[in-house]
Amino acid sequence: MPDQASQEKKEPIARKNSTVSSARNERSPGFLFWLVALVCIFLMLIGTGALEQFGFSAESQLPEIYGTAMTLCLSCIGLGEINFKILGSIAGILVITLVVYKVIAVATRKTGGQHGK
Amino acid sequence: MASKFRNTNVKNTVQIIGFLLGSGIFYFMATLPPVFLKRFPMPWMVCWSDPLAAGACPSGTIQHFFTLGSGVIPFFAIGFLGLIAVFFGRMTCGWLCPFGYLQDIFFRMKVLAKWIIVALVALIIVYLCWTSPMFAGYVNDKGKYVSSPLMKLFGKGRFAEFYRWLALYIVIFGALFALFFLKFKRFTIGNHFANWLRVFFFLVPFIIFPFFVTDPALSIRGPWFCKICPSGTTFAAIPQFLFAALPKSVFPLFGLDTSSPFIPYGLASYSDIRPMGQVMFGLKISMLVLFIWVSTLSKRVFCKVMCPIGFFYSGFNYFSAVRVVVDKKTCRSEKCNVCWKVCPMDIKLYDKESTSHCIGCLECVSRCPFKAAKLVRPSFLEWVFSRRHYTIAQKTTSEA
Repeated sequence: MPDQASQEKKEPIARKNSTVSSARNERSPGFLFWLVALVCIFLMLIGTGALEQFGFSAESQLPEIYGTAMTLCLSCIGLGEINFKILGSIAGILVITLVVYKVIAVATRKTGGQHGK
Repeated sequence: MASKFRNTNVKNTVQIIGFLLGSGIFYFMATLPPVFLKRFPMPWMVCWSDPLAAGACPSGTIQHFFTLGSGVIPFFAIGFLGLIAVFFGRMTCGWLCPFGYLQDIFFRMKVLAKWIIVALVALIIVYLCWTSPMFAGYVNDKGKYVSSPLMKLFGKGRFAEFYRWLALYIVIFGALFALFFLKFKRFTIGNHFANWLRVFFFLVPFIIFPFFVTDPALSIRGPWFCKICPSGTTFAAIPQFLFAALPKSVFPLFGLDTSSPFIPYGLASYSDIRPMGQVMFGLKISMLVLFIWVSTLSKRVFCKVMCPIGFFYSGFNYFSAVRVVVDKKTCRSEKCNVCWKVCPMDIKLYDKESTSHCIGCLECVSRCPFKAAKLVRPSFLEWVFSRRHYTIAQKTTSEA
């Protein structure tokens, strides 16, 4: 059958490719989902100050968010004086990061690593 | 009968709604008492200062708590964003983020559209030059007018200022816009390289600098990522400056208080921000134009290498309730690459480093010829992601 033949052709290709993600666990939300969801809900409750009586955090963070959202932030718009020193340091660290990346990429290539094709 | 459902159409519609929600007509919602939505960080990139955004900026919220010091952790923002991400992974990036949508548009733009954008920005620049010459000076905390060092180089006089600033803009923006029309090849940013860059942008300007580095001009620790954020320039700086240029009589039409054109209820401490646009503003605009140009050559560059919220969401892609997976049995990988061609993030779905970059747009799921790209979704979201429209991963699906 043509379908069966094409299926047989496909499988070796897929098996050779070790980077293909597993589809074994394609199912409804797992344990990790529920765990992280509960942690997130817990963090939100701390942030709203609802757990204050249990000794978690103190006051609600919502007024702080509101207060800042209602204040014009000069940084976001790009107003105010430019600070070449600090922005320059960020740019400098970026350059260092890129150099380190390049060095590691080259080193990995020499040792025949994953990115050494 | 074949289904006429097209994921692209649905996605585009939702993206337009997200664009309006994040940066558009819903500004009036922010002015309605109680100002409810401003208490919540939006689950996509907006800006604190966006006069059109209904909610708070997630990136700004987190950085703001870092800048406060005293060990205050943004519990609410992290929990809120995490809760969305644990359900949908990075889907908000693919379906709702206004800046992501803009990048999609820029990449699809034809030459005519580029010219239209160039003309529009040129008009804005000319208008701003005329109404308030940039870099001229600003009023400091003590209420004293401080001339910009650049301004001291020139003489005074309105027309002279206008032409000088216009000339300056033409030099800066002319050089940048020239990039649009030079023939550069479209390129793909590799996942591995993108990972390095986004770790850098997440750790350095987003976490470490707001924690430790004080801005000498303000004597407080600053949200340093905001200073380089092109989304803030697009959705905050340009609208703010345009709003400022409008006559105050039209403010009520936008639900704005006439005494304060930018912030509802008169909380702003100044009435006109245009004179404050100095070198930093010019730098941000230049970076934005550069970003637009790069976005026409490569898909969603900001999302892939820079966005801290996208990076935060990335980790959830591995176990979120809704996510895209690849069936190893049926995937043709390099032999097919349809997923790569249709992906707005320019990723190959079968590459194991792609999982964290996937923004869940579902283009690959709806177009994969071998039904290898599958959607994982819980049964309670069946009404949203139906089996009729998407290939759904089965519990029984297993590797060969």
